[in-house]
Amino acid sequence: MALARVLIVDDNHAMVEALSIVVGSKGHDTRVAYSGEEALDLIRAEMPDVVLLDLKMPGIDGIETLGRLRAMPGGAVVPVIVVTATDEDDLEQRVAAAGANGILRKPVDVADLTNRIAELTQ
Amino acid sequence: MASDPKPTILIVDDEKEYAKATSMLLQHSGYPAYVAHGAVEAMSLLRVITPRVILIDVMMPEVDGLTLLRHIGSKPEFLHTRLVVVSANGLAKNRAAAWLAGADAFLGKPYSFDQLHEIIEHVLGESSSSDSRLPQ
Repeated sequence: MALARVLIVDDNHAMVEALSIVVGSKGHDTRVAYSGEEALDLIRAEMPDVVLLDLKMPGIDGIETLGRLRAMPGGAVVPVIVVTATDEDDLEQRVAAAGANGILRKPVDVADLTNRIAELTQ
Repeated sequence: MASDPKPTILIVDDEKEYAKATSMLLQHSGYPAYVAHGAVEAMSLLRVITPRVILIDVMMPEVDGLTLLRHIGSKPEFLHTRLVVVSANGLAKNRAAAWLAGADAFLGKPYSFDQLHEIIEHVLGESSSSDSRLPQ
């Protein structure tokens, strides 16, 4: 499995910490951001290999963050997995339309998460 | 005047001696305690009881504890049930995986009588003020 630079974006600090631990335990290099704005700043400095993106955040939300990422130079091809507790009927379509590569529901199945990262970084 | 009955606790563990000992300790303290030796047995029991606390061992054959945990956590009837993951492997990554799966607390094996009581009191104390299993 290729080791990747994984950017974790979530306004919940405990969620960021837990995701960092499990993703880091697989040998990946993790970066964290607690808002969409902070994530975009980090991405401008260094393009990650995968982004784990929460949807509901203060400031610009996950969908808006994803849209701005896709509009950046080189940002169109970065794999993005949306990690969310949101349970709306049309969520998968909205997330796919915004350009996400996948969606993971909270509570998170860690095996599923690490498999998705592996698939997207092969 | 009689005090309020203690909340019901379900122990899910394929290690029968561990489950039995935990059940005896809890019953000795006045908690109605039930035992299931696997996920299928647990789900059968959960059709007829709604425990306030479920202790779930991670390493179980057929269906592992975290899969069972997510399944229970997805059901609205268990919104107020506190879920405690029990594991002999207390590495940070395993604790984080349990939390991400929706656990309210983590109890390392082997545990003492005091540790068991402490974790039960801890999650019961939280249950009156928190309805949310995972932050949004």
